[in-house]
Amino acid sequence: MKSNLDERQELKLLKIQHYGCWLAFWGLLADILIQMILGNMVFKNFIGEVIVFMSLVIYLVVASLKEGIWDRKYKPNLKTNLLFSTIGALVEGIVFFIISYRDYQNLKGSIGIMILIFFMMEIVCMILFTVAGKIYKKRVHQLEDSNEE
Amino acid sequence: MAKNIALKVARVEKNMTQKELAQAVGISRQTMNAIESGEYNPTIKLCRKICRLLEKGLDDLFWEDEENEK
Repeated sequence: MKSNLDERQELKLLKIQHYGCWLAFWGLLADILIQMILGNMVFKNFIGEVIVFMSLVIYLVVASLKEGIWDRKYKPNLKTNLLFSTIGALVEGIVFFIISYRDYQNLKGSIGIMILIFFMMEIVCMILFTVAGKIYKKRVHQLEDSNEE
Repeated sequence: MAKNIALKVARVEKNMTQKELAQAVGISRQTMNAIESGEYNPTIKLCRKICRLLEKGLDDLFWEDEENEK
C-alpha cells in the first residue's frame, strides 16, 4: 500500500511515535509502582499493565539486539551494567521499603526488606545486563561478518 | 544548515513554484520548503529526483562548502 507521507513526514512520524512509545513505557512503569505503593498489591488488579509493559520491554530488547544496537550513549560494560543495575535495584528497594513500612510500621524490618530486595535486584539486573551484553556482542560480530564482501 | 539558494534559483529558472516541484517529485510542499530553507536534509534518492527534474547535477544543487555544513 502506497504511503501518504514523504520521507521527511515519515521521519517526523517516527519521532512522534518514538516519544509516544517512551511515554507509554515510563507511564506504565510509574502506574505499576504507584499501584504497588498505594496498596493495590493484588496481582490481578494490575496484570493488564504488567503484560503490556513486559511485552513492550521484550519487544524493545529483542528488536534492538537483533539489529546489533545497544544504546545511543552507553556501552555494555561492567561500569554501566553496575550503574543501571544499582538504579533499578535502588528504586525497587525503596518501593518495597514503603510497602513494608506502610503494612507493618516496623522501621528496622522495612530497612532489612529494602536491603534484601536491593541486593536481589542488583544481582538479577547484573545477570540480565551481562547476558544481554554478551548476546549483543555476538550479534554485532555476526552482522559485521555477514556484511563483509 | 544554510539555506539552499542554488535549489531555489534552479526552480525559479524552470518557472516552477515550490508546490509544482514538490508534486513533480512526489513530496509535500512543506518538505520542499524545508529543503530550500535548509531545515531538512533529503535522501540521495530524493536529491537525484530533484536534480533530474531541474536538469542540474548533484553538485550544483546539493554541494556545500565545509563551513556551511557545520
